[in-house]
Amino acid sequence: MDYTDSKYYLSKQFGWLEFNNRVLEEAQDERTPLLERLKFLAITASNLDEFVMVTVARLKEQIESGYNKEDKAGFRPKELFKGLSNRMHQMVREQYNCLAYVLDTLEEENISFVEYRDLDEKQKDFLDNYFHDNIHPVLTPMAIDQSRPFPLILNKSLNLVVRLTSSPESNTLSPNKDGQGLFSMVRVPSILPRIVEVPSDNKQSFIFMEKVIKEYLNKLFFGYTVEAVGAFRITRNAEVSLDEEAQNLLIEMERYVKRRKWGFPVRLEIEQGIDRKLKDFLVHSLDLNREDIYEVAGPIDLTTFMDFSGLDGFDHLRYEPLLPQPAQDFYNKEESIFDLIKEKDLLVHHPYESFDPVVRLVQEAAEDSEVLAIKQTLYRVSGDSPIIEALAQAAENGKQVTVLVELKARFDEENNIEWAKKLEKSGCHVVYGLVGLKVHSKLLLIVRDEEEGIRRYVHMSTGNYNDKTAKLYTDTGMFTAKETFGSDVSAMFNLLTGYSSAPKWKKLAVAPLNLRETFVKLIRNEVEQVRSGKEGHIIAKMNSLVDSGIIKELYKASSAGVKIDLIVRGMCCLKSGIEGFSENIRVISIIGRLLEHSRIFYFNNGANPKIFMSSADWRPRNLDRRVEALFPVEDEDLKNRVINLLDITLRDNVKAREQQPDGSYKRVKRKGKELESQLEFHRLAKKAIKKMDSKKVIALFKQTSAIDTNIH
Amino acid sequence: MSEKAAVIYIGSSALYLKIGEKRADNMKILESLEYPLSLGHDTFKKDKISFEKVDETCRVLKGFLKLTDEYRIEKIKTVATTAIREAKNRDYILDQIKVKTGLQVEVLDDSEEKIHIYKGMSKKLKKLGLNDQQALMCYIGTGRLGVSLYSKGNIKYNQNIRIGSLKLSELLGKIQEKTDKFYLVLEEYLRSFTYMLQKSFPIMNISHFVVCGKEIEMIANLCEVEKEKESWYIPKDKFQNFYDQIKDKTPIQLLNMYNLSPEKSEILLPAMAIYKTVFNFTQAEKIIAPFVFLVDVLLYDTLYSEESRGWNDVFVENTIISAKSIGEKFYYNKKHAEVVTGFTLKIFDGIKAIHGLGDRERLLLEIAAILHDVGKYISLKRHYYHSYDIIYASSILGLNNKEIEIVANVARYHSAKSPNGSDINYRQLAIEDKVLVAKLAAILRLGDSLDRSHIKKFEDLKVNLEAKKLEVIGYSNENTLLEAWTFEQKSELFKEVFGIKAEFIKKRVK
Repeated sequence: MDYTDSKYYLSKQFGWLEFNNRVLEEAQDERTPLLERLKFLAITASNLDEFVMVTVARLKEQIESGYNKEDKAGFRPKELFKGLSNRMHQMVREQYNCLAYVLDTLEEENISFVEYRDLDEKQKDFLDNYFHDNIHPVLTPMAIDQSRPFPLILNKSLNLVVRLTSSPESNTLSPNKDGQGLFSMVRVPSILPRIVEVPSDNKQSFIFMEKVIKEYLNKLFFGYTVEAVGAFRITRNAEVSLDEEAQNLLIEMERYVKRRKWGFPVRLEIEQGIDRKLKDFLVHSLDLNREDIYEVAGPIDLTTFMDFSGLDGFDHLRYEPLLPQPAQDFYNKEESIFDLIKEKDLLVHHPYESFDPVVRLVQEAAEDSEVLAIKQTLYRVSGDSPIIEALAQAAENGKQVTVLVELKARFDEENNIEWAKKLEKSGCHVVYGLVGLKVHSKLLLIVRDEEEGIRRYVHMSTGNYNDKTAKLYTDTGMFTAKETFGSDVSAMFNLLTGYSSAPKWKKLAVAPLNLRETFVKLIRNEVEQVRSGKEGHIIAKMNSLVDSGIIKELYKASSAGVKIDLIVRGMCCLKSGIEGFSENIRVISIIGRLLEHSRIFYFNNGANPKIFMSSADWRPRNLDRRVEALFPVEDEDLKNRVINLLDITLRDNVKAREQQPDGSYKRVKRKGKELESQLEFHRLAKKAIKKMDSKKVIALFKQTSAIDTNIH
Repeated sequence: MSEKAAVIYIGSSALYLKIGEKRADNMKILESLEYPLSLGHDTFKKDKISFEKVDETCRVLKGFLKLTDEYRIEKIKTVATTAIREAKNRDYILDQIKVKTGLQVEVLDDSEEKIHIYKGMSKKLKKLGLNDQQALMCYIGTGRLGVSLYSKGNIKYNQNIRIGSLKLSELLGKIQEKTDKFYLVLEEYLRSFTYMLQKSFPIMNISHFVVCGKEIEMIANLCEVEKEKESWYIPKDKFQNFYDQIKDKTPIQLLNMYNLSPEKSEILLPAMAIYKTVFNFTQAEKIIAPFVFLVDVLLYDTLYSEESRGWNDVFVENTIISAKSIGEKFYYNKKHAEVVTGFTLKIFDGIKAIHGLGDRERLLLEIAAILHDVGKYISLKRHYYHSYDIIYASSILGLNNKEIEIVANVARYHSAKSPNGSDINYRQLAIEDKVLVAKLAAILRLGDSLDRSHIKKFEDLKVNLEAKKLEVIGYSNENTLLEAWTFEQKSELFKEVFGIKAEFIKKRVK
């Protein structure tokens, strides 16, 4: 059987769009609360932006350069582009249909988006003041004519394009003698909120800022007649090359971020019904094709609704927040966090369980007199991260702090540069990634000089050290003080800081060194198990499954009779359920209110399960071009918890979709009770804490009654 | 807080850092870093190490120091071997390292390197329970091959050969392009060394073949043998099969086949050829490869200095055994050597107050006493010259090159000639070593004179050190006129060196 035949592989790009479509389904779902629906719309929009800036841009470049090879799924660049473009146009139409419906329904909740013409005088007065005090000072109209070429329009910025005429007596400096065909540009300022609240009685009214600006254009173009105006937005190629050989990666990265604002335009979004001449002018100036233009029936750039969905006071239009519970392994424990970890390996499941233990570990380490050194990889961190604070504090307390900062975390570079500088200032030893390899593994190491000698504490995770996203992303992390992990992680840092080659790993598997080979071995081992008459079973949970090498192994395993359950949130290039080929493979995708992010791997290993967690997906970039770590979960209690976690996820019948043999996804058929895994995990986390509390109460009660009996 | 130490090793194909901690039960390795850098390439090909590599070395060493800082380590031992030792610009390199990193590098000479390795190996062999048996031990440095015979807990014979895996590949590498049977060239080249080994060792009934070094570690991995109790065991047929499998491959092919680093792919075949050659001397059925690595041995020594002193004593024994085997090889007069050694050491011990020398110098004197007449094997005429030559050319286990040179010089001046500034062999010694040679030769002369007739006339000797003179009292009932006269003659140098007169007094045994 030819496992590499393109008919067995789904297109990565289409797979990605399908994923976005599943998110869109959440926005379309009647059962989703209204403001959450807006938020899901914003997510689909933001996803599309990234897709256009990276994937579509790359494809355009390929077409431009004449590259014409088939990809794994059998598509050539041109047809792929065409297909994607069609799918995106369709998706955008659905987005705006959905938006219209949601906004209509919001009216019933007394939230309304209004047009300027519908406002009363009082409201217009308010906007008049608002325009003059706030908007006008930050507007800069730019004229376009022979002497002033089309201005550089910033990536993803919202702009107005204006067509003007001037009368001969108006004293303008226009070189166009007849006063015809004048164009100008106004950027909608991004420092002001896009959605402006207009005071109104007994409801909340909002207007988009660009609509306000449109009303005041005559203030900006004095002496001209405004013939037409329209809003537009350009999305540019974000894949500008980065000179990794540069002497100072930090400075080069700053330049790179600037450069990226000016990549070639890939997509143009314009308002539906825009003036014909304006449209022609834009298309001509930007050198775009018809299929790159998206005429949208509503406000451009739906990501705006991300913030709006947090609107004060309308909690009933949102999901009840799933507040992170105290982590059960750390709850009610008075001893130092080091003693806890020393005793036994500990597990945290975010965001059901709080991220606090991770922060606490770094904070305690910063203040602990026995701690010699702290080492950590940082990929995406929140702005005012308590971890950064603690690391800086530790350095100031005289600890040796080594931080491996990955500046190349896409679209987060600017943020990363900022706190990297901060850490350097406080005396941390900051290392900026490796040339050609993104450091994606999430590792924290603390070296402590204890009574009986050096002991190392390790935290390894599937998610970033980001306290903000730890409330929204589902991730798992493990704490351990086992020596084998300590020495591996220690060696990993030596490798990353560039002073050593890789050792023989005791526990970890590390990309790009032996991670792929480790996975292949584990998969093949299941085949062996089946051959020796045992049951072969693989459960793998990840964000995307793209790697054709791994997919091939999975097909082989399936053909050999290994049962394979895949929980893949995003794109999945593997085709499940093909008879005689992948019929033993089931693929589900869970899209819920929280972002599925943990990567967990289960191998039955002849009823002696091996369980791993990792920062890596099964994608070539994770296995070959990034530094990733895979670590085993060995403690029996933790193993059981993880197995239970996977079991619940696999039984989800509310938010789970199952891949069909044609690559599309359908909600799983519900048998029996509703089970939404994310809610279930939250419930279990709560229950665990409650149980521990009641135990404590009982213990207290027993104590008091004992005292009572003494009295009598 | 526990005791910690670090060893940095500048090797021929990598820089190493190990940080260890003293624990009650055993040494615990906290950090182990290996940074591949082929300094040996430069040294063996171009005689000196390029500027870029020195620069990189300093950069990495600074990184190493960051780590030692982390553990707040004060005891850092930095050593280098062949690559630095044989580089023409060695002094500049050492200075640059000192200036840029503050590290004082100790350049181990070949035998020092091997002493450490052998120490580690014998310790392991004892653990493996090979104490009572004969084993051929073999250690490839990148620059040199050391072969020695381990017998009943001691190292009896020892031979250093100037071929190492990297050196061999540098030496013969060019031929490789011209032939696809390069291994035949290698084997032929090695045959000359086979002859040498046969000459220097009584090769009989060697039931074990023990190998250590980075090379065997790589081979063990490639042969896919499992590790048992910190040692690998590679059966002969597995080794041979693997050799047959790779012998006609180029380094590039090997690199691709086994996913090796360029450095390792180059030394694989030469290393295997060397092992194969030595393997064939033994009746062993497998290669025993205990994990012994210079850095670990040094780290252990640093952390457990007391225990390691104990091992040093064991090693002194090995050194004496090694000297005696050289004596035997050249048919020395064992009885005479023993008598002279006894007398000489007695005098040495009796005049500690005026010579101010320590245990190590005493050992050098002892070796010189054992081997002082060894040149008589060549000719009785000016035998002391020949003694010098033989000693100088020998590998005496446990002595470094400088020490061997001192011993050779002491033997050179034990007889008629006195140290003389115009002798090349004397002139090339450092000043402090010149004095040492003179002192030791002066004492050896006295000791030797008391057995002039080679028949051990004195039953006992007493040494009496007084303010202005040294009295050596010999107890004998025989006619000792000859000895008394010789003593008188030979004590000239003593007087010159120590500034006091040595007198011989004969007493009768009661």
